[in-house]
Amino acid sequence: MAVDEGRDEPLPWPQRMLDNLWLLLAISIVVPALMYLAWGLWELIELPTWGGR
Amino acid sequence: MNEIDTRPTHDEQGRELSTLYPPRRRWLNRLGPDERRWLILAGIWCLILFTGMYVWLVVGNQQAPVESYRIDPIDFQQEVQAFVAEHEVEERDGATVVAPPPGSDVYLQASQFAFRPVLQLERGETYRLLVSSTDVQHGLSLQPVNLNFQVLPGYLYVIEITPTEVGEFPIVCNEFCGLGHHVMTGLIVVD
Amino acid sequence: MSATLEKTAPPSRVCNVTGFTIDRNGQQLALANAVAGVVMLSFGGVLAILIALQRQILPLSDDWWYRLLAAHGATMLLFWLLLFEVGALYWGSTMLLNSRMRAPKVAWANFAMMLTGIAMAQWAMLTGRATVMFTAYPPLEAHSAYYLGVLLFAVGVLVAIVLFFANIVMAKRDGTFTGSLPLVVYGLAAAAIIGVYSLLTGAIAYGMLFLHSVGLLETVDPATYRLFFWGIGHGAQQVNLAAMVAVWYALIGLTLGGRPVNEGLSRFAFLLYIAFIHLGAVHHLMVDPGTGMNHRIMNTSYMLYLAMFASLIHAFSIPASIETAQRGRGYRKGLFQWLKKGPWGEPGFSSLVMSVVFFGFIAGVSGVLMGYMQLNMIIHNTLFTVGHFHSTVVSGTTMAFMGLSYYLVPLLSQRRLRNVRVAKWQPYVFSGGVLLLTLAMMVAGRLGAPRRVADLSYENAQVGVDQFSTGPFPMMMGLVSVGAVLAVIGGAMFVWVMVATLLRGEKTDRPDAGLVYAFGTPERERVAAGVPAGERASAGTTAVMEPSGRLKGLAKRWHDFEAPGTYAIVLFFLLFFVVMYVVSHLGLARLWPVG
Repeated sequence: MAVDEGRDEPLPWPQRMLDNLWLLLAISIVVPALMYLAWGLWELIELPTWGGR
Repeated sequence: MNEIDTRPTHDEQGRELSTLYPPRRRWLNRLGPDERRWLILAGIWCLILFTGMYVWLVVGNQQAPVESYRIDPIDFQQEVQAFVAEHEVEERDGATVVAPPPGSDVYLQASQFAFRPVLQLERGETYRLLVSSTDVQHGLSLQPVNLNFQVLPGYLYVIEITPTEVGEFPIVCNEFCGLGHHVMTGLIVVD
Repeated sequence: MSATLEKTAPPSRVCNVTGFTIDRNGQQLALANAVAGVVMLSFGGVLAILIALQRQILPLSDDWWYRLLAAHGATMLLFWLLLFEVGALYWGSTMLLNSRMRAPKVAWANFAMMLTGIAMAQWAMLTGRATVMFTAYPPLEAHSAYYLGVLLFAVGVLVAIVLFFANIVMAKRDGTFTGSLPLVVYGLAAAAIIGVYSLLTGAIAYGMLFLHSVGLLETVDPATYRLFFWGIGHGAQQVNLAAMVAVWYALIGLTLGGRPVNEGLSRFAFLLYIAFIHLGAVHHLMVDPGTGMNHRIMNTSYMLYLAMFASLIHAFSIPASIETAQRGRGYRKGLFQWLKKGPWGEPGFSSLVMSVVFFGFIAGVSGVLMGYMQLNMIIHNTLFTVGHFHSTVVSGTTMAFMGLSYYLVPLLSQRRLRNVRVAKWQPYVFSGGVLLLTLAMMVAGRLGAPRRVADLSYENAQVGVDQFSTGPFPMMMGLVSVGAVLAVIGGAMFVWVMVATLLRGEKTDRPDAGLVYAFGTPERERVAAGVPAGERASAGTTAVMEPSGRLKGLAKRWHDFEAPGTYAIVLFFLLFFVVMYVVSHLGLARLWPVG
């Protein structure tokens, strides 16, 4: 349990990113809103109307 | 040599690490070898599953249908009536039986609480089922083959099927559609 | 904590067992929400037994069967799980951070609003005004009170999430914790984050229906509704998933004093959940008219199965955390001595293991396979689906939450757990019952049995269907009922223990909890001596930590494997997964050509 790390040593960016809850919140909304909702809505809007057999 | 043992078990204050306490200040560690092996296996499995869907699109004969259209439920009902009038062959227990020509477009209407009409199809022929609802959402469940599709009012779903067995294949509704949901049935007869 | 803060802060105490500073507002709010959740669980259990026995014994009318089914779904999926999760959020963001609850009055008003919403929805469902099921697919219509009730409840959850983040931000500012969040709180934060998108889409979906029900919106497009609804219909289950994994980590800490084997990897897995798990909402639209092939494949695979990858990470790291904790305790023989010597009589531990195993092998595998585009055709809306989600939220989430309650309730109410013998058996009875129920449902569903059907005899149908009255079906439906009865007995045992503890448990400021049952005397002595848990060298049995803090002996015996038993387990799991995948495709290939 050596205390081998300096207090002020900068933390690696992945750790800082994972600690940023606001960034995570933004990701959690943007990804499904674009990939699932917006894309899906677009396909529903673009759906052709049935013209008979 | 043993990188695995380098991971800390205590935090800076000498407190034993736990899921319940804050981690050490810097907690990003290298992966242990067994973790690395597992992640590689897991990653490969993810890719196999993903590409598998596209591979099955090419090699498989059973695909989730995607062809669909918007349709006014009233128009749909009229087209079904015209279709039934054209191909009706008999009445059976109060239900109309139709025998459309092999390989044709075949209407199937879901309404509270029946699938109409009864379809008489030929084995080995491919039909395009044109399915929609005139009221609420329904579930088309072909038995005992066990093929299941969602039926929405206002949307026409084109389901291409090729019956490969002879016999009577009941349809049951498997989407809750009202208090008569458990009596909602239909029938496909394959000769 | 600064001096000024202490003066203005509401009364708090230091927990003699865990060493955490317990804020009384947070404690009461967490307990109130959890207890309200358990009340809902009890009510849902009564509904479950009525629904399950209707087919065999009870002469319920079809109308009542559908009403009770609707109420059972909303009560369990929404009210029980989310109320408990709100309690867990308050617990994690105050007590685990040694911090205090912000805006407690808002939290209490919010609690009252959620209860009002529940009352409105229950009234509408039980009086037959809202027999539309949890999915509430338009154009089926329900009384506006139902939509409004669910909306009030959902907004309440959203407010609780805001309070959760406020607690964390303020705790950080007050310096009651330094550095990163504890892993358990991080998992709860992931659940809360996932909940935001989920509740927003849900509010849009139910909002459209509410506006329609009061005449402000002419029609609601069924396909658009389905797209939005599954944002919450599926998304809420992802909240349950993330919360359950957080609780798994909590139970590892509470029952074994375990640490995550790789802090960073577990957190990365939560990030993958946060980013991609919501895409799985499309699982419900695989055989719908509307969207195209690529939308389906990209979303159903959570973008190349990255969310499944996250689950596979947890599938390794959860058992590995158990294994390393146990090996650290001295159980190092062979591959599985650590597992054999686990504290199986400890309800938190057995709940944890049951929850992990049944969630992984049954819920996880079935969920991925039924979300697989082509395989979905043989599963969609059958009883298999019902079996699947009972294995996720009952076998998995509910079991994990029950396990956590065995500690939270004594620690927060400052009472000794009562009926310990009942508690010891409870996880086995409950899990066994749910296992039977889910497997029977899955078999019946795989053979074609439809869901949400009051009567499988089709006696009054225009075209008779006798398929479900013959062959394996009567036995399968019988097994569903037997499983349901067992599960409800297990649930009642849990409620009994909780009620007895809360009402008649011996008052103490050192309630035995977790490690005490797991490891007996030494831990009890530590609690009695008032040594906070974090300061122990190791819990219970012989310490095997070297001075450097490394685990002794593992490397020598198992070369570079840190958790060899876990590695064997996950390899077996992967093999099982592959076999189920192949078997499913063999079934699919036998069907009529379709497309």
